[in-house]
Amino acid sequence: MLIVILFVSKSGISQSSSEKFTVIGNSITMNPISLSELKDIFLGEKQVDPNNNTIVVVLPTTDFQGADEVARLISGSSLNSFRRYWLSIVFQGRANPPFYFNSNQRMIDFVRENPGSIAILYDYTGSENITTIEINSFEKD
Amino acid sequence: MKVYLIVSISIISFSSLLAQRQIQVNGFGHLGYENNFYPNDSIGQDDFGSFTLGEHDLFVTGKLSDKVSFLGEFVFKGSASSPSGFLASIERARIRYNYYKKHYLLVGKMHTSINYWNDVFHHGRIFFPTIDRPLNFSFFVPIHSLGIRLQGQDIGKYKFGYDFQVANGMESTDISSSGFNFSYNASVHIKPKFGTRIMAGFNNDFLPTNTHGPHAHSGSFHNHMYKGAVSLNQFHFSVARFQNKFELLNEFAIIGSRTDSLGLSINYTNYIYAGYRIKEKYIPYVMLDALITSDNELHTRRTNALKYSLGFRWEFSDKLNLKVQFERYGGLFDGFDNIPKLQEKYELKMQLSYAI
Repeated sequence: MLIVILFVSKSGISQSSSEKFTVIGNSITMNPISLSELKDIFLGEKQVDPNNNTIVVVLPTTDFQGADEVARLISGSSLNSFRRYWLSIVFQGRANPPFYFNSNQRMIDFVRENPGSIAILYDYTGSENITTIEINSFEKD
Repeated sequence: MKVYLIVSISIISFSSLLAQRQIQVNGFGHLGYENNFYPNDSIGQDDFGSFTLGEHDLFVTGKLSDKVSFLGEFVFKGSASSPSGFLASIERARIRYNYYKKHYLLVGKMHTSINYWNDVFHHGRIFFPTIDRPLNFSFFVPIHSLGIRLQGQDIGKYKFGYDFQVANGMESTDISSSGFNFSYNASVHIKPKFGTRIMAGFNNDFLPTNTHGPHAHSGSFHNHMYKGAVSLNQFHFSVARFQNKFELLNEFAIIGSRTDSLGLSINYTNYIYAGYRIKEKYIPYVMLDALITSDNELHTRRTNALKYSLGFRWEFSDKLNLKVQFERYGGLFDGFDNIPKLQEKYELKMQLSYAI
């Protein structure tokens, strides 16, 4: 099952930029999800869901439109710092390597085929037949 | 027996990973230049400058199943003592099993989680904040360990983590060890904020003949004259803070080594680095590193060392950076790096580090 999670305000990021992020996941049992949990996942600090299923992280390549914005949303730092962070935790052996894609469509295709995977689309305006879920739990931030 | 275990782990892992096409390969490495100046000719050292081909590291990861992953690291580096001029080594070969949520079981050869530097940077020059490792890595730090380890990470509000390990001792090789001399390693850490980690580590080891194996980098400073038994207990404390602007790393250790000949020797070491990031990619920094051994020390050569430096790191991208560092040794303590008391040595170093 492909799930799309749409962000809404209150997250510390602006309304206009928050609306540009769309989180998609395949068989991710956290629904709804808070921004804090989302950050934990995309920082490699939460590697399994509540059912102990392994989460596969999908990240943008440097030429992905919106890669800088995704990096700032998750880590509050630049894309270079965010990518170096992931390089480091994989090198430490503390996280499995993420998968990198350079477009929304390629992320969608990957997530469709890989249970447990999760990705953040940016400025997605496509018409995929996918479920959307609004996030309303930002209390941890 | 143990070499068969490593080879078996590697073969099984690679076969399975290739079959599933879930293998990822990265490379890490560095190139360098070093200029040494001895301002006082009377100490008998000649100035020199040299390019150097550093370590080159093939890094392989892959999933064996949903819960089991493999990590291997194979390093090639120049060696004056090798007939080919190069040495190859298996730096890591380990399997990690996620048995429950944020808790893991690891088996194989891995970096000893005793301090921040060894756990986070180790061979990865691209991650090093300064060109050299702290001085203590040439004396006491058990850099690798071959054994079994329980690991937890990112638990609770403060992202608590632990690593508890039983491994072959520092005196062992990757092929064998004598008797039943295991080392016991334990560390805990918290990450109260993103980019901040506070860590404490402990190592207990017994070396029956004070021989150093490949799990330590103490060759040059090892006390080869002493062949009696040494009991080591090390306590490490690390504070790391790598924020968007300000970077700080402090590595403190107190090391006790006990021998029948001279009893207990207490040694201290502290490395501190501070850097400030300008326009994201330019980081000027300072570093101070000191190591003081007791007069009773027999495991390593008795050494009092002080090293301090100014440097600049230019991060071209997340996978390429250049460091330039000017440093001074000696001047306050005697006995380090062939520098007599109150003599000095200056070094100018450059290091280009990459990840692919």
